[in-house]
Amino acid sequence: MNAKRILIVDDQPLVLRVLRLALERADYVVETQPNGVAALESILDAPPDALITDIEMPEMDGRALCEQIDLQLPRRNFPIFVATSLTSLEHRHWSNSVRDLAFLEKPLSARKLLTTLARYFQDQTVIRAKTTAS
Amino acid sequence: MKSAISNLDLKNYAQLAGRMCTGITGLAICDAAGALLDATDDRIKGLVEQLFAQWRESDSTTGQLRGAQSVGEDSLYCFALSAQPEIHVGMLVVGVSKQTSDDASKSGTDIFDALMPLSVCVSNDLKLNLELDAMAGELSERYEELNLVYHTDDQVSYFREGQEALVNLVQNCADYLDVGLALLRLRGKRVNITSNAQSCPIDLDLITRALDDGIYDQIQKMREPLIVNDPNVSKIKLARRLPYKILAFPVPGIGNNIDGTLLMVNDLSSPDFTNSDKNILSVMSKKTAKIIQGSYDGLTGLLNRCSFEHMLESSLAELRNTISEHCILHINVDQLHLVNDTLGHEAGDAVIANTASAIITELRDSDVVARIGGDEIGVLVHECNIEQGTRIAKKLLEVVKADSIAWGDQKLEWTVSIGVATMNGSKDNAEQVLKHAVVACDVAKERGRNLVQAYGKQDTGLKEREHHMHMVGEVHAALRDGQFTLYGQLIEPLQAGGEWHVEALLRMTDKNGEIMPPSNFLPASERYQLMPEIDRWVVEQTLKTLSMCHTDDTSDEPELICGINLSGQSLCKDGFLAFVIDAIETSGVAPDRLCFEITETAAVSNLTQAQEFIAALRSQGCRFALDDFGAGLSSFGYLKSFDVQYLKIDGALVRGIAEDPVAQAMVASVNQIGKVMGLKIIAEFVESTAIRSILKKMGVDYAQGYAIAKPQPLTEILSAIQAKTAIGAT
Repeated sequence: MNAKRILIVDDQPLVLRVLRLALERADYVVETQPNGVAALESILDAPPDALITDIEMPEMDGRALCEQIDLQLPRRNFPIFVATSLTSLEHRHWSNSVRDLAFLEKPLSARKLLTTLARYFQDQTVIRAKTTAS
Repeated sequence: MKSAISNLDLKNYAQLAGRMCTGITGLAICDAAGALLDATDDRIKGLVEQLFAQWRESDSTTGQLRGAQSVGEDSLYCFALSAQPEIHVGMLVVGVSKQTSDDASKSGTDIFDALMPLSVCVSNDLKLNLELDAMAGELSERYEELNLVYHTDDQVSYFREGQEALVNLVQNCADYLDVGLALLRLRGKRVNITSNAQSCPIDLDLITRALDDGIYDQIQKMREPLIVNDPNVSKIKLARRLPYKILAFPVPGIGNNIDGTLLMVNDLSSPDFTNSDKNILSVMSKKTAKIIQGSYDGLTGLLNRCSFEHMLESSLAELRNTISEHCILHINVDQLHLVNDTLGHEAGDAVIANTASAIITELRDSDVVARIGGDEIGVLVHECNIEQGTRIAKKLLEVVKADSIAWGDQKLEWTVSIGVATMNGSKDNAEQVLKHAVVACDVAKERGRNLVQAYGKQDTGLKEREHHMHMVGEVHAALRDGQFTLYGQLIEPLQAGGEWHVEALLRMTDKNGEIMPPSNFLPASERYQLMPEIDRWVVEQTLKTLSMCHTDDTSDEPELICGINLSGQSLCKDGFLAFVIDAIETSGVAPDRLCFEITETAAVSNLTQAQEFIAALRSQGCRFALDDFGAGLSSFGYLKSFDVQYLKIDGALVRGIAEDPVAQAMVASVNQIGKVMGLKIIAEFVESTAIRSILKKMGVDYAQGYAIAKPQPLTEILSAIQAKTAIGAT
């Protein structure tokens, strides 16, 4: 089985636990990291199929993590989903320069997250099929 | 379970094991199926599978493989991990170097016993982890419930939004409760929505048939949710025949009614419906009810106006590029106000509700029926031309006429008038089409009620009515946006000692800035009772203009007397008299500068009110003129009834006096009788100097018309006079 590997980065164990449970139930392989530094290391080691990260974290926050990923992996081919509880649009400005990044509202609905991921991977399959066909 | 075990941190346990026993070489953990989850040592990793097989064959009661398994240089100890007593969820393997164990000259059992607390510790951690997972799962569920409730919108303001909201709601229910099929069926509202098919196959036809064969009625009757987890033991016979689990909720309607059913269906292998599912569905059925209320009328249960207009719009859009036609019926209950006034609004409501249900029974399911006003019902009949529409309307007319309700000891019967219009793929918009039907309905009412009138573009009655309706909108806009303006026409005294008058005239500026004569908008304003509002404006503005152009009080020059027209509607309007008195006082304009003109017809048809009105303002010092005398059903007899000082002879008589001796004789006799009664006579429509000189010779007091002065803005006239007076004074 070609299970998709999802990396979840959050400093709150409860969030990690809830999301891990939901994603594992849907047959994803889940890796969790508590901050940006550990996450970056893991990504450089083996990039996931999708990254879900919080913004406010110790050591390296979500924004810095995204910027580092962009810098160190300019040809990244996995999407980044940034979970945020902040409502202002201002903090989303920085994300404009980061490609293939989407925001998810916190608290994350596991159901919504699953739908989002399923849709993303489905689209990917279609794109890949089309590319292969052409 | 898997995640709970894999969450265990083996490195920490390895350290702990090292403190408990010397020579620990490593730890490994596998799940209940023997799959390796984690290992701190590669050698042990490779041996887990083999050990697991042995372990399975060992003492099943304790699950422990007592004693060491000697593998190469290591002795391996296996411990069953359990979260609950006697339920093994995995295996912990601890490797101990043979050399160490030999040196300590401990038996395998000693080492096993020494390591036992470690396995208890890991099991406990596992138990806690599982508990936490369960709590996280529960929390997540509750959050999803909240999410479902929050994100299922029930605030809708029109039909399409409502329909979308219902579709979303049904799909959300299916997704959230993870059921094979969710279905919303509101028969009376013609709503039938099903969720997208899930992986589990449910026979929709079978469900729909069972619903219609009785489950639907059963739920309506029970007014309670129906839960069937085991069809074999269900009290409901029909449910016993269905190979499904069912959770169904009644959708509450207005008052005590049940509008329909929200139904979840699952196959028998799915988990049972729980109380939590029931609670969620209860909220969802209430949300459904709220959405319904947003697009339907509370009294009749029909669609509301807003929804109807949206349906019209979308039907119109569908008609584009086709040759099809749809019919619109505008149904108005005849003289509902009489029922309301005599028997109260409850009776009126009963009439409306009965009309609605009578109409609904006659129409097809695909027809759209809506309550579009207090006493108005709109119907959209698809694929229908004007002839067919008229036939349907006539049928409805009969049905309503045959209907009756008992109200106290009375039998209430009523009729409707119906306007029929069609719409096709042309450029009409929904508003226009509906207006056509309204116009036709108005004409039906005018032609005697209990009638059907089809809208036809050639019908002049309809055309005029349509123009009136258009003008009503324009007049309202003019009042609001200040598009009315005052003109004035000077009236010349023909005899010595007479003073100049000016008649204030109303003009309206249209959208293009063109000045519109009153004949364009006054008939519509009269028909739709807008005259009091217009008259108020005229009185207010005239007084304002007069007070602004007030001449010097010390001047000997008598001030211009200003004529103000008043309609019959205003004379009868409560509060209008008080308004005029108050307005005069506020303006500071001398009452004797004002001459109110009332048409003979208005005065005669509102005799008492007119007399009171005139008396009240005469006592304030105002003057009065009887306008358009000779135009209507003139009777000299009435002249005595009104305490007026001026008589204005209708222009139609005056216009011809130069050529027509009869006209001249009529004017002369009106003049003569007026004089006898002590009235001053004003002749209108003096269009030539010839007419003027005849009138002067005849002894008529005043002349008004193009030969004297054309109408021009009132302010200009007043300013000119003010300037003249000012020059005269210096």
